[in-house]
Formats: sequence, C-alpha cells, structure tokens
Amino acid sequence: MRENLSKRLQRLQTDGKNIITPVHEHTGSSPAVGDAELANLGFDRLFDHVWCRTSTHELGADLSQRIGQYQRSGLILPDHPGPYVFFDAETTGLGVGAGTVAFLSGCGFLESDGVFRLHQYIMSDYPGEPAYLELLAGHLSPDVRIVSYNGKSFDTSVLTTRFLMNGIPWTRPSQLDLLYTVRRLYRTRIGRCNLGTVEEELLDIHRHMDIPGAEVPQRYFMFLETGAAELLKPVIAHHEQDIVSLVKLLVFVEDDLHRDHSERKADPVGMARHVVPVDVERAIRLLSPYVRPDYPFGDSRRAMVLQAGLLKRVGRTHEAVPLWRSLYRPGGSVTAGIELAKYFEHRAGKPDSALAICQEMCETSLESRVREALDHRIERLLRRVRDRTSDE
Amino acid sequence: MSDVGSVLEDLSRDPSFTDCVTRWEHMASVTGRYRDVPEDLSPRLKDLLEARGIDRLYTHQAEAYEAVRAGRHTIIVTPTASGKTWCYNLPVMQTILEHPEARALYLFPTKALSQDQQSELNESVIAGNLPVKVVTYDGDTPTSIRAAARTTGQIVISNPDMIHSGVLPNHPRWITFLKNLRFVVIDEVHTYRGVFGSHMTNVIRRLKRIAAFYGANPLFICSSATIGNPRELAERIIAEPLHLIDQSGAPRGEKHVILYNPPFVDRVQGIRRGVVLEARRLALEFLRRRVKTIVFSRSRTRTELIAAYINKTLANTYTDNGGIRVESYRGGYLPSERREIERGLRDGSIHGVVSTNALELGIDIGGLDVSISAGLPGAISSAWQQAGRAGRRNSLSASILVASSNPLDQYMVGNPDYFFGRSPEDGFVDPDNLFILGDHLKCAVFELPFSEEQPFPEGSRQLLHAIEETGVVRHTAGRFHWADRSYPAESISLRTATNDNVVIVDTTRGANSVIGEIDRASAKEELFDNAVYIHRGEQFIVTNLDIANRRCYVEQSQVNYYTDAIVKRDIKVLHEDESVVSGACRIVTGDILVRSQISKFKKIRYRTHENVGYGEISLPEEQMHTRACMIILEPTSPAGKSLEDLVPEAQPIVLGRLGSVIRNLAPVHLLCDRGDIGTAERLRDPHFDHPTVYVYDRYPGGVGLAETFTHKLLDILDACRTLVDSCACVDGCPSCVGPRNREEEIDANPKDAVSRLLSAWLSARPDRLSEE
Repeated sequence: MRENLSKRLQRLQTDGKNIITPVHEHTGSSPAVGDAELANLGFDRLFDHVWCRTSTHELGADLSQRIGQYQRSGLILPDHPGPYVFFDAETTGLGVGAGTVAFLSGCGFLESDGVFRLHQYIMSDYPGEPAYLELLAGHLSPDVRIVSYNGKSFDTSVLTTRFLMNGIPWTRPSQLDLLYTVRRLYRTRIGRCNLGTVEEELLDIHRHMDIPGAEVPQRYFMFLETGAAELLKPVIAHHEQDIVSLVKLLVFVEDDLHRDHSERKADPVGMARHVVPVDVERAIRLLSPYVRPDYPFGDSRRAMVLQAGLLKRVGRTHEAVPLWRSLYRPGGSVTAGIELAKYFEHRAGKPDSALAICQEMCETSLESRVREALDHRIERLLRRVRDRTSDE
Repeated sequence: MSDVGSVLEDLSRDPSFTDCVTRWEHMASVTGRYRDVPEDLSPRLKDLLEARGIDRLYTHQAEAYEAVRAGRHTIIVTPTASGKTWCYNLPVMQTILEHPEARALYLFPTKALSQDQQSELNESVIAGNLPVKVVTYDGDTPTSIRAAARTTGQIVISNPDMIHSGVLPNHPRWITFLKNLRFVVIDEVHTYRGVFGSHMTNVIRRLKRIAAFYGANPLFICSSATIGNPRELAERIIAEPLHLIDQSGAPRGEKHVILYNPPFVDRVQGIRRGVVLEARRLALEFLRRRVKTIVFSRSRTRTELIAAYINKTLANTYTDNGGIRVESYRGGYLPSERREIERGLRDGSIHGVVSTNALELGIDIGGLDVSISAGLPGAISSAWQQAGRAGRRNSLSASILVASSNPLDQYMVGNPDYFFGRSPEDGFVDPDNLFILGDHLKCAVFELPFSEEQPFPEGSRQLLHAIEETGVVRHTAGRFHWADRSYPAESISLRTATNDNVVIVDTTRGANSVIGEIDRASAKEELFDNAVYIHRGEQFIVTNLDIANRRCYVEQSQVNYYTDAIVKRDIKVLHEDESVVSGACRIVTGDILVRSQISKFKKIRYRTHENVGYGEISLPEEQMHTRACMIILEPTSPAGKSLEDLVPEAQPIVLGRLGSVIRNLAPVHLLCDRGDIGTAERLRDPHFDHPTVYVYDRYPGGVGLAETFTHKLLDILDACRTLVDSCACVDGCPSCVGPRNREEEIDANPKDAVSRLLSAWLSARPDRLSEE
C-alpha cells in the first residue's frame, strides 16, 4: 500500500515543486510580537499577548445631561438601570463561523462630567485569547446594556462563539443596536446605512486617511507574521472612531426626535412605527404635523397611509375617512379604496357608494389576487343593493 | 401461473429472444428467518411495530438491534427491500425514548433519500405517537426553522455536504446537538468511494473531532449495498472497527435473471441493435400484461426517450381503456413530482417507470415484478442493485439486463460466469490524498485550533506547516490557528473531482443559462473553441472557451460531425515507489507528472466515422501530478517480444489499442468510471527505455486507483483478453479494441495482434504478482 503522509510530503518537496510550497525548517514559534511598538501606540501589556489602551474624549458636560434626560423621556434610549457600554470589535473575517476571531475590542463608558472613556483591548496573538476574553467578560457583565452598530448579529455573535470555544461562560447582555434604529429612521434619507455614510450624512464627521474595513483582517495577519505593530495603527484609529461615533449617533438621534418637525431629519413613518408598539397615541401625535390631505405626495402621502391605519386601529375611523379620500382616486391607492368601501358598507350604511368605488377600481389594472377579492366584494354589494331595493 | 411467469414462458419459446440470451439464471425462493421482537423494546415501539403489521423481526434486524444496543459500531449489508431502515431506526428510537436528550445524525448521499427517510420516520412517529422530533437540515431548510431544528431536533437528517459547509464551520450553534450526539447513521455507505468517499472520510474525521470537543463519542451505524468490501470501505471511512451483519433474514421470491445481448445489425463493424428499442420492446411484453416493470437507463435523455416510446406504443393499442400508466423518473424533476411517482408506484396506480440510476438507491417504491436494465450500469454491484428493484417477498420476479455495445457491457454479457460468479467490485478511498486532506485540514483548523493530530493521520502537522507557507494558517504556541478572512469550506466541494471547474453556458438565441459544469482539464480536451458538445441529446458548438474566467459559451448547432481533440501527452516519471514483476514484465507504481497539450482537433462524421477536417486549438498546457501504474514491456518478456515481432509501423498502434482496452475494462475490477483513469502509451519510453503503458489516476494526487489497479492487474488483463478473443467482430470494433482505422494504414489486424500480446503475457503469468 501507499507510504505514510510524511513520506508523501517529502517526495512532493523533492519531486513536485509545483504542488505545494516546500516546507521550510520550522522552529515552531512565530515572529516576536512587536512589544515595543505596541507600547509606542500607547498600549500597556496586561498579560501575555493581551494589551490595553485607554483614551478619553471630551464630549461636553451638557451631553451627559441630555443622555440622562433621554433615559427618562427618550424615544430610542430605554430606561435601563445598569451602565451603558459602547461596544465594537474588529474581526478576522466577515462570517460568524468558528474560525473568525475578534482580535480588537473596545468598551466605552460615558462619565457624568461629559467625558467618554474608551478601553481598547488587543489580542496580539492567539494564545492570549482566554485572558483577553476574561477582561471583556468583566466589562460585559449581564447587568450592562450594550450599545452597538450591527452588534446583535455580528460582533456579539462572534464573541459568543469565542467564549464558547474557550470554555469561558458568558451571558450576552441586552443590547441596543443602532443599526436597526438608523435603518428605520433614516434609510429613506441617506440610502445606505453603513456607519461611514451615517457619519458623513448625519453626524458631519469626515474621516481622513481611514482604512477600508475590508483591509482590517489582512493587516492583522501581516502584523502576526511580522510583528510590525505600525500596521495596526490605522486599524486602532478606525476602531476608536467607530466607537466615538456610536455615542454621537445616539445623541444625534435623540436630539433629532426631540426637535420640531420642520427641522427634523428622521423619516416620520419610521419614527411613528418605532413608537407604535409602546404608545399608539403618541405615534399619531408625532405623525400629525406631516399629514397634509391637500398634499398627498412624498412623506405626506406615506404619513397619511400610516396615520389612517392607526386612527382606524384606535377606533377613530371617522378621522381616517378624509385621509383615505385624498389617497384614493381611480388608479390610486387600492388599499385606501377598499378601506373606503368597507367604511361605506359597514359603518356608514351606504352600500351603493361602496359599490361605486369598487366598480370604479375594477376599471384599472389590478393584481389577480386583489381583483378576485374585489369581485367577491362587488358580488356581495350587488346582492345587498338589490335586497335593499326590493325591500323598498 | 402469474403474469410474470406467462411472459417468461412465452419468451423462453421465442428463438429470436433466446438466441440473444447469454445466460438465464433461475434463483429459487428463500424463506424468511425470524426472531421475536426484543424484550427490552419499549411498549410504544412494540405497539408501533404492531400498527405497521410487524409481529416479529427478520434475523438481521434483531441482530442489528442487539449489536447497536451493546455499543458496537455496526454495518448492515442486506438486499434492497429487506427492511434495512428498521435496523437503525429501532435502536436509535429506543435510546431516544430512554434518554430524550440523546441526538442522532442521519446522513444520506442525496436529498431525495433524505426526504424519503423523513416521511418514513414521520409515519412511524405519528403511527406510534412517539415523542421523537425528526427534522431535515439541508440546503432546502428555510432559515426561519433552522434554529429550532438545531436545538430541538432529536433525529437530524442531512447530507455530507451540509455537515461540511453548514454544520461544522458553525458548530457553536450546534452545541446542544453535538454535546448529545449518540448515533451517526450513514446510509448507502457504498456510494462514498473514490473522490467523494475520500472527502467523506475527512468530513467524518472533522465531525468526530468536533464531537469530541463537546465530549461526545457517537456510535456509527452504516448500511451498504452489496459491494466486494463493504466492511473494509466503511471502516476506512469511519476509522473504527465495525460489526458486520450480512446475512439477510428477509424472504425472497423466486427470480429469473437474464443476460441479453441484442442481435447484430452489422457483424463486420460489430454494430448491434440499440438498447433503447430493445428495452422498449421487452418492457412492452410485460406492461401489456399489467406486470409492474421498471426500466433503468444510463442517461436522462434515454430515460425520456424510452418512456415516450413506450407510451406512444401503448396509446395506439390502448386508447380506449388507457389503463396502463408509465412515467419517467430522473434527477431534475421537482421533489413533489418525484414523490407523486413514488406514491403511484407504491399504490399501484402507476404500472411502469423508466428511471436513471436515481431509483437505484433505497427510495421506497414498493415491490415491482420486473426490472429491465437498458445498458448495464458501470458496475456489477449497481447491476445487482437494479435487479434487486424487482422482486417481492413471495412472488415470482424477473430481471433482464440488456447489453449495449460498450466494451464493459460486452465483457459482462459475454462472460456470465464472471457476472454471476464473483463478488462485485471493491470500493476504495484515499483520504490522505494531499489535496483532499489539505483542504479538510484547513476546514478543521477553522473549526478548532489544531493541536493534536487525532483523528487525522500522523503527518498532518507537517502538511499544515506546508499550508502555513501559503499564509492561511498560523502556528503559534504549539497550535495551528485559522489566519485568513475566507471561509474555507465554502470553496471546497465534496462531489467534484477538482474544485476548479468550468461552467458551460448556453447562449443560443440570446439565452444565458448554465447547462453544466466540467473540470478544467477535461474542458480543455472536450470544450475547445469550435468543439461539438452533446448535452442531454442536444448538440452544441463551443463559441468561446474562456479558461481564465472558467466559462465556456456554447450555442445549439446541427452539424453532422463530432470533434475529437488530438492530445499530446508528455509524461515525466517523478518517483518510482513499488516495483513488482508480472508476466516477466516490470510493473512500477509511483508518481508521474502528466503534461497535456492540445493543438489540433479532428472533425469526424457521424455513422461513417470519416475524418472530414481538422481545426487548430491554442490552449495553454495542462499539468497534473498524480499516481500511476507503469507497465514496462521489456523485450525479454513474452509480451514485449510479441510486440517487437510486429512490423515497426504496427507497434505504436497495437500499444495504443492495448491501452484503450485496458482503460475500457479496468472498471470491471475497480469501482470507478471510465473517465476516472487515463492511459498513455509510449513505444520508446525515455524513462524506462522500453515500450511502456501508463495507467494513471485522473484526480490530482491520486485517490487510490493506480494502487488498486496494480493489485488487480492480472485479473484486468485476463478480462481484456477474454473480451478481445470472444468478440464476434472480424477486424476490431468499438466493443473491443476499437474500430479499424483505415488511416492508420497497417497491414496487421490490430485485434489479432492485441490478442497475441495479451496471451503471451498471460502465458508467462505467475500465480501472483511477485516482489522484485
């Protein structure tokens, strides 16, 4: 039979140079970690292969105050007894599979005097991972609330896997993921919702010399190979900015929602939808300045559609009727037309008006499913109208 | 007399049929052997068995239950329809009833089989009102139910590809399942051979490694069709000793197996009547008398063709009662269509089915009375699988195997003793192929930092060091870590020979649809610019082969010729490992570098095989490092002498014909396709200085074909001689050494010369291969 694997490999090295790069003599250890260089970047060595840097950022005393206030009355910042930890990680890949590692993690804390204190932990080689994770577990205890950007499906998912694979117990704390907030409130305004766009369009932050996120893993791998911490300098700066932006974004959103509607940037419909689960009446109030029956276009049109639905939901159908009326015209909103028909048939007791609307809608091109339902409705209305006529 | 019996009776009186029969084998019925339902079986399962009409078990089922319950890895090798699934379902469900936290993984090679098993288990679970949750987890499982499937599924049905690319790389999400993994069931284990089997072996290594990480050490239960070495193959795949159960207790009705060689149309050119028409004719004999019949055909197109022919004929005769329903069945149908056909066959509303080998595996279609194979499947084990589709427990059945003109078919039909007498081919894997192992080591490192070699072979660390040079893994503090942003499993396919494939795109009339895929090396030989490409019976012409982007654009065409590339192969012997003497010839096994250069192609007219022109090809050279068996015909050996005695012009031709017969017949003893091996013949070999035939593995690095070939060399040569000698043609035909090619302009008849060479060799044959 065939010889063992080592022999095959040896042969490949001597005979088949085109297959796998030949094996060099290996000492088994990797290049020395750039201790001095990481120190130059302001990092302190905590354990083997684990480093930390703490930086502070003045965000202004009033900011802390506003945050305190928003915690009580805020729209997105729910009241939470524990501290908020602004968290973000840089990883070695985009997937959440078992082989992706979070090598750089940052935990930021907003202090009462408007000072933002950020701890950045770096794992300078794989064997440092357990100690590095223990440090993170210290900050990310079950009673805190994490504020992140796409942390729910990514950063903390990667962390969960890492804790598991290192046999360290960890309960994922609750989390406010601002990506979802931004998508809901600003997607119609800014299009793409990646953090870079958000900074440019909403926060007026313009990064210079920032590295593309896609370059991050390669720089880390090169650092591992060469020990040149200089390679990580832009990664660390990028990461720091990401977390500082998180705080600014949170405050921006709350400020925006507390502004008068004429100056507000947020999408009214997204905003109302955000509030609906907790307080429908508040959502109706938030929407009302945008609803302009005389101008059923753009934001106003979308606001009217939602507003009419909400009004119906809380039993104020009569208030919804004018909105449906301005939304409906032949070839216009089918939903509004049907709502009107329902209203006339069931509430106002005017089946002929309902029938007229339905027949009018039938003239236009409709999806087959909608048409079927409509035909059904017309049939029933015809019966009712006939019955009523014969009664008389 | 049953209807089957009366048709057989008629056939046996029809000389036009019997003249073509090379063997009519009658197999007596066998009575069932039974054992009581195991005493420790839970009352719920006893009730379930009762509800399904089972009051006792076949001996093999009881034996399997005991072996598994005693904690032994077990393999069950029994015929189709012998109640194989109860062999694993009973002990697995019993364990789950006792320990609800226990988990089992069922692996099937195809999705169709997974679905079949899911519905069978569902029926059991419902019938027995069992608290066992069965889920299917494969590429078709909607994302919305995946999380629930992972955590609550007690029996998870999946396939190796999903384990490889979906489960193992995300194992932390599977923690509940993996921690409690008690059983791994591998059904149809014989399908895991060659490249696929070599990948599978590595997937199992990875699975065991991750299970061990969570503290689980599952028991393996395998089932296999009859091949030469089922236990050996399965032991190689799971790397554990297996308890073999191969004595079936199931009863079997009386059965006739008939080898049928269609009559000659042109004896000189060796052309016989085609299998499509013969299969239709025979199937109609049975279908007209409402005998449930299955016809197996080798390609999807032929499947459709035969079904259409049969239905057309039936429509003429039976338009009024229209009572006979015949369907076709193949891959590419929607799952619901397939399920409907399977159901129709079970409940009797469908009388006949024409299928590709998709129905060869254990999908439940109930009992059929007759099977007709339109063309023998490539392997004896498959032929028996197909024949096994006909036959119920207590009634008469028949299987007719219709041979095509392909050399392998002609050999089998011409040598019924071989067909009936010996055990089927061996399956083999080579999980330590450097390319395959290297790929899976990358996946393993991604899944968990690599510190210990177990269950990977010794030397894996060394291979990882080699991989480290490419920068995707990092060795630090004694462990290898994944150090790349990619996801290795994503780019590794378990099914294709290489992961470097060319996609074939049909651009006819502005279309842009993918119709197939082919490995890069074959693309260069078959899909060069202006090549004629046949796909499912339709003819295409290659408009552009874009190797750099791995695309080949084709358009439908109607030309009256096909194309054949003239491949110049240069072989460099890299290393000779093992050398044996056979028939006074030296046989060397070792590593070679095959360089293929294609510069020209021939256009050959259909039917007449005339050469109607040449074309130029400009493609870069293809290189492959692989394993080979090198046969050196030294002039001192009888075979070498017989070659040397020929006129010089005839020598290269005879050597070439020898190579092609060997390539055609090697699959008789190796469980592989003709395309898996390559041959090259050199009259004046620069390395050995003598005429040499190289038989090599067409997978880079080799998957064990060359080694197995060396061991089976004498048997294969013997088969070659028998085929050439017994072929009824005069001058050589496509069924033996290939048709006579007038262009070769030789006086000697290549058929006789090849036959003399083989005889000379085998006459000097020692009993066994001897070490040099």
